Amino acid sequence: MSDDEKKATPQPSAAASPAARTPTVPPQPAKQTSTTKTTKISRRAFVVGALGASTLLAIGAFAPPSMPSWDILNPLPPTREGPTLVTTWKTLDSKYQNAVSKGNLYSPSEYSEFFYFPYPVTASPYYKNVITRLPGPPDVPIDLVNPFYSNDPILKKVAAFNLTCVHLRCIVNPGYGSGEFRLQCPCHGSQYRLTDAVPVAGPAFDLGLLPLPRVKLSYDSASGNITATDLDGTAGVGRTD
Amino acid sequence: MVQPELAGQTSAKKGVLDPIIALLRWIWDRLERTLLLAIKLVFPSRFISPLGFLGMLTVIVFLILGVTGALLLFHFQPIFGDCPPAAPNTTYVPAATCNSAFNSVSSINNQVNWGFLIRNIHYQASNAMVLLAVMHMFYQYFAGRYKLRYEILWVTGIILGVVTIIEAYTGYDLIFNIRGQLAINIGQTLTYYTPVLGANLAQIIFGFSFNDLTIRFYAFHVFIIPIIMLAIMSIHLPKNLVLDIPVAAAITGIILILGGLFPVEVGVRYDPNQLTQITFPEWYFTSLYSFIRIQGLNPFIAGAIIPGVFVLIFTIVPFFDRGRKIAMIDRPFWVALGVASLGQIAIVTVWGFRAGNPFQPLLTEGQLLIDPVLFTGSLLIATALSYGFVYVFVRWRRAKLDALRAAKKPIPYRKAQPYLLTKSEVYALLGGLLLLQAFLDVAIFRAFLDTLNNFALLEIGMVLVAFAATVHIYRVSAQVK
Repeated sequence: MSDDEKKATPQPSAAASPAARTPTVPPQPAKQTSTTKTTKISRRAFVVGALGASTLLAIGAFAPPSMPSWDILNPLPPTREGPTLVTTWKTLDSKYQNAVSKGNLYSPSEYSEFFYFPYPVTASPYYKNVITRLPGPPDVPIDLVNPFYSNDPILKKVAAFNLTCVHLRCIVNPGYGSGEFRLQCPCHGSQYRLTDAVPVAGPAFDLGLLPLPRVKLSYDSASGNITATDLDGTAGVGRTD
Repeated sequence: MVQPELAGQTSAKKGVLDPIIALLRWIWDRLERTLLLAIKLVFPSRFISPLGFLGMLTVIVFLILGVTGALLLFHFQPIFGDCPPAAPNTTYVPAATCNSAFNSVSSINNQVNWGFLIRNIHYQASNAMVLLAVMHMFYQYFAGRYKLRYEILWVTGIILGVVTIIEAYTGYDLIFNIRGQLAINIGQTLTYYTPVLGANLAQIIFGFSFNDLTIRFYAFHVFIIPIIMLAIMSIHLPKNLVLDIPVAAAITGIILILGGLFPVEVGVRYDPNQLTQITFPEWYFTSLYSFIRIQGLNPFIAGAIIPGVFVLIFTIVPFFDRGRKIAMIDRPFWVALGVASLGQIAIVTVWGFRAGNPFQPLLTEGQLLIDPVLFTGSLLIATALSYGFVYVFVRWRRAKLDALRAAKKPIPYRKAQPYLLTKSEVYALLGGLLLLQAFLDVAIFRAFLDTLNNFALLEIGMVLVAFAATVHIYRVSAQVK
């Protein structure tokens, strides 16, 4: 490097008096390239190199890795809500008992509640979730159990999922089909199991897409409150567990 | 005594106009230095087929869209889910179901003076622009104007066509009815499925919330994409342009007439709290929609790869067709390929409107999935038939002409004799058209008084068509000595 600089600095001074030097300038580069070709670079190469480096540094000024400038394109997401009270076990169960006594066992939307979490509907309609009381043995032969809370006596009877279909982002709805309780998409007919929201029919099943995102719940036995603590997965994309 | 006075009068008259003429000449001389006079604009003095200047008609429709769009800007609110508080003594409207974008479009349609007309013109013109651009492309394709130094015009034209469709897409999403929402859902999902960049790209294009999306699409629709279109247009515009006033007026008139006959509705308001309903995309997207609806086909392949390949094939045509001949009869393969692509577009577009059973219209849920065997089968049959028939026909025609040439017989061709109007016919037609225009002008006035908006739109369109006819008859009859 120091050799290069030494080579580069005297050159401009040599060319400083142009009128007198002009006739002798042309043979000079030829001499240099022939004698000191291996160790020193030409003035032209240095200038071009400096120009290139300067351009790169100028571009680099706009792209610090800590905050790249294309972040101006990214939206400002709203703040994610913390643990939110969804409903109480009592209301959910009484809704279920009412629906069963009215003979609406096979329309699970009768005993479901809808809520937006962790972002309000004003932010995005894709964060609509459902919480459903899963039908149990006296009414249906098989005990439907939420596999994520199979040890919790209350939460195992409850399922809560994000409702944005992972196929093309329509909002799915709880329903009943082919002898099974399901989440059904009105648009293209994707169906998800109500207990764990794994696709079982329609395009989401055909294409092997991910299950719906899961709302993580916690239950307070003293008050009977069911609280949503987190959303596992991305709305419209699915969960990966 | 008399003559000098007259002479003085005429010279005085000349003196009044002289500064204006001098000013115009002065301006014209300075315009020589600008780009404006580099474009050779031809006003044809006789009728030529509008198929030859479909591109210029597309530009005219683009200008109509620019003007009407600018007027709509004064009233459209690109906001979603954030309405102002309800007025006192009214029922409370929760912000969640509030959809300012849709509400503003609906107020443009129903309350704003002239809003209905301007919105209808904007909508019909957007359809016309897509249609004219596609027709323009196919005409240039069949005329062989994509090779032999037309390559850059062709490729920029294809890009411009794709950008036009994206512009139309961003426009109809802004209304935020259920149709726009369907398009948003699909567009966002397809972007998300893009390999590697998908998630970031979706966030940049669509934002996080629907309010982000509205503002972003607004920026795309009214500024970013039009600027890109103008930039591409500056390369795509040829030096010689044909501006045929009567045809341009007629196209504008037809757009207005269509707006009057088929007034576009605001649609069903999108409400996140309501269940999703079955709806269609705009007609230029039903082809893509039918691909997306095929059972078991990945949406990204269906909605991005397949149309991408289709567009790519069109783009690279000039680099594969190396022949020096441009007449259709000398290019049986390429002509048949073009017709086959038209057949594909037609059958796929029709599929978009049909249920899984193609003999049933798409009305209720559960009909959306299309059987891949049925779909691909119909597509292949349509392609093969249209390709085969056209290829055989062109070859047969060519063989016939070659045989005539070999036998040194004259090649027969039909030339339609132009029908020349007699003097009395010209008088009757022009007089009738003028009367019609006068009558329609009064009728428009009445229609506005009675707030019959679509009637007014129809009649304004008819006046423009009558004007076009008048200019055309003038032009035809002025040539007759």
